[in-house]
Amino acid sequence: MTNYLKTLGYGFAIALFALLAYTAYTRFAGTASNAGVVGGPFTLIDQNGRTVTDKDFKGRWLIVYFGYTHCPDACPTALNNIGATLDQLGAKRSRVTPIFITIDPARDTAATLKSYVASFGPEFVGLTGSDAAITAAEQAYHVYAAKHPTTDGGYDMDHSSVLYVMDPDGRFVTNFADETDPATLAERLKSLIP
Amino acid sequence: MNYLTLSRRLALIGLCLLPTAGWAADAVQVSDAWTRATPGQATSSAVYLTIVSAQADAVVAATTPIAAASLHLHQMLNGIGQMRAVERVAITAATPFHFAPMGYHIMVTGLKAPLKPGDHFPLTLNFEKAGPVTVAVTVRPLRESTPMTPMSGMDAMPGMSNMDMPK
Ligand SMILES: [Cu+2]
Repeated sequence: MTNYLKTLGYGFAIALFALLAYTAYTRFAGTASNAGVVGGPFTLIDQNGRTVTDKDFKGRWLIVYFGYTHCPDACPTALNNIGATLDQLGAKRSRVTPIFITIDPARDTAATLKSYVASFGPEFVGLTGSDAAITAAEQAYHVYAAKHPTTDGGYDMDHSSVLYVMDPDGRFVTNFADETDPATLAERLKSLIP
Repeated sequence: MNYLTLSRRLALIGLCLLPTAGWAADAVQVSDAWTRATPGQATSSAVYLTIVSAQADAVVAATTPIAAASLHLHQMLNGIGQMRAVERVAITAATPFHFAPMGYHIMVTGLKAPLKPGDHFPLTLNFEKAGPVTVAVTVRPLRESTPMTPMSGMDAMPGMSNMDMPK
């Protein structure tokens, strides 16, 4: 009898673990069909209010970063690093477009993004969109984002903070931690861009 | 005991107290307080600084007349960054403690005006033992604001003390 209960207990634990693992997997990886692939088609709105898709960026090297403008620490650090990286690219700078995709479309309108991204460099693109369009982009890039309520009644966002490098065909090449120093980033990009 | 002796005694006590008072005032040093210029219409910013305390102490609150202020910790957990309010930041005796990007910061929210490079504003840290200490926070340009960043937290290894921010 004790053994039977034990087996039942283990069985339940394994089933619970499997359920949790599956939930985590689908949350992070999106649908199974794009698991392992980073990036893909998107339709979003740029900082000038124009609808843009991934096809509009074909032919350009991209540095893609997901964040939100109410983020005072990680996001400016990452965007500063991207800006400083561009400064070190020399002639290859003109081949690169840095893209900031908001994970907080409720507060980050096109107008909000326009002055925000311009602060980090002239070639920065800021993208927002409907909740559904932003969620699709997050899933395509395997980005985790969730609201965390604050005591003042507002919220912060918990989010993956990663720089993605995409090639001119829109294919994922590599990614970097948000705090990678610009010299390292620039060296790597210079060796990647022919 | 006559009056003269008493006054002499008081003077002696006073002499003993003076250097003590001076030491108490220098017991906590807060330096290199800075923040970034706010990008776009951002109304929040993170303040960074370095604390050296002669005694073990803790920061329990921060205030500034220009905005709401709170103690925050930014952490990476499995690649996911999260920012959380903390009630208390413990400071080890005689060990520089850095509030620095991607670690501890003093979060200021609800700024009524943008922070521009070269601006200064007062910020008061409340220490559990040392009480309030007010510093001037310098607003640095957005794009030059993180030149060489020390690790947030205390200097774990002795060799790391040379990573202090230049004045
Ligand atoms: Cu914060």
